[in-house]
Amino acid sequence: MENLLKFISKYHLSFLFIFLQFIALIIIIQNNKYHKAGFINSANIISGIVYSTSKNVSIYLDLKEENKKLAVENARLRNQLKTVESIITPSLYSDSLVSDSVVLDTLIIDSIDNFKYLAALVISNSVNKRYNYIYLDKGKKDGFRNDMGIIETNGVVGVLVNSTNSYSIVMPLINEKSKLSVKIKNQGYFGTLQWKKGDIGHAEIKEIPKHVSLQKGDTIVTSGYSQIFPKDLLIGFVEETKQVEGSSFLKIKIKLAVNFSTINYCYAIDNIEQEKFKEIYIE
Amino acid sequence: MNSILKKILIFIGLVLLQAIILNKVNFNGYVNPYVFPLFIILFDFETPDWLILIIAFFAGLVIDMFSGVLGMHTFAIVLMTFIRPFFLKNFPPKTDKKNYPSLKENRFGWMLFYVSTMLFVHHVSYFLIEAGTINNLGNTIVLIFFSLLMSVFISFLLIFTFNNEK
Repeated sequence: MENLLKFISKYHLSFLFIFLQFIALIIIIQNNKYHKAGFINSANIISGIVYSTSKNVSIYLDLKEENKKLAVENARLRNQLKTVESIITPSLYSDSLVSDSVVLDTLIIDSIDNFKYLAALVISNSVNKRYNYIYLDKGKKDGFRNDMGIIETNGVVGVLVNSTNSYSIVMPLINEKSKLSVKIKNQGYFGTLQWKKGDIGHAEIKEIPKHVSLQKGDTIVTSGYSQIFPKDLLIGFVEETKQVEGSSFLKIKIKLAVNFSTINYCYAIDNIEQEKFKEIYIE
Repeated sequence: MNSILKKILIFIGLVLLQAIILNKVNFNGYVNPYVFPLFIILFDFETPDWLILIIAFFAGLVIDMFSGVLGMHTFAIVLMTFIRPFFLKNFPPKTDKKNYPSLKENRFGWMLFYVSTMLFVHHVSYFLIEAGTINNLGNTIVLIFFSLLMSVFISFLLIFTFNNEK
């Protein structure tokens, strides 16, 4: 017994060291596996307050650019509104088209009702890591929750993975854990989008068969299979396609539509149907 | 008491520097400087080793909270702190007046060697854990090398500015 105590007191530092490293490893592994439910939450008050304060200062630097973006988006939305109005209005006023357009009408309203958009401010985003994350200034009390899609004026940003009462964390496309189902616009082929550390302007698509003919500049959009994003949201443009020997799939390099180093405002997509789909999966 | 307050202020300063400015540095993904280990590197000599280990653990957790991935910085900085006493034993600093590693009492060469070795241990362990694999070892080594250069450079800017008082 005495020897044991001597042994422990002689190596107490090593024991403490091993103990602390053990805890650190458990935290790393737990966060890797279930990053949604880590027992020490990284979307906490401390980092939230620091980031939102520093953002309050730095946001003024980007105001000009941000206003331009908003004006462009407003113009685009106005155009879309006109198109939607021109489809819906005849059904209310013209008799001849009633039977056809009422069906169309309910379809459109259905799809509009399924997705709701909530605005948020990006208070911090990293671009230099393997696992980049984006912090938002909104949380559960504003209706934000896990598995919401996050978009920006230019296109898809990522998926919300963790939220506390007043802050949330988003896993952007430029995180090596992120996998998004995408498709080539106007063609049925779909694949998985993945990013590798380093170049934040580009990502890769795998699983698109070799016989598909692609041109530089072809548009890549969301597939809509995941219930996180509605379909046909812009992700990026094809930049380069490579044939890989011994594989039946193409290696496609795409230019991402979103500039991840300058995101300020973004929207979360609340899919009301998502809960229903989850129930189906569980059953 | 005064020195504890000073330590806390230094810590807050380093965390803010790291979280707000340095975490955003990105030269095509090859330079991520980490300067907050300076908090432990320049810690008082007379503090018991077990206490520094525990302080390092919590300091690492705080930094981790700002990066979205928990545990990685904690692991790296605890390892660095564990190695610190062995280094100081083999390469003892001059400690006549000051009870922390200072540029006033020690030659620049010793200080450079000390800070670089400590940051080297931290960077190697951190970037290897972050990579999570040894497949891309070449890439990781380049990343470690350039980040380390940058970290040492920024560290000495800070040391020249704040650690140089008489």
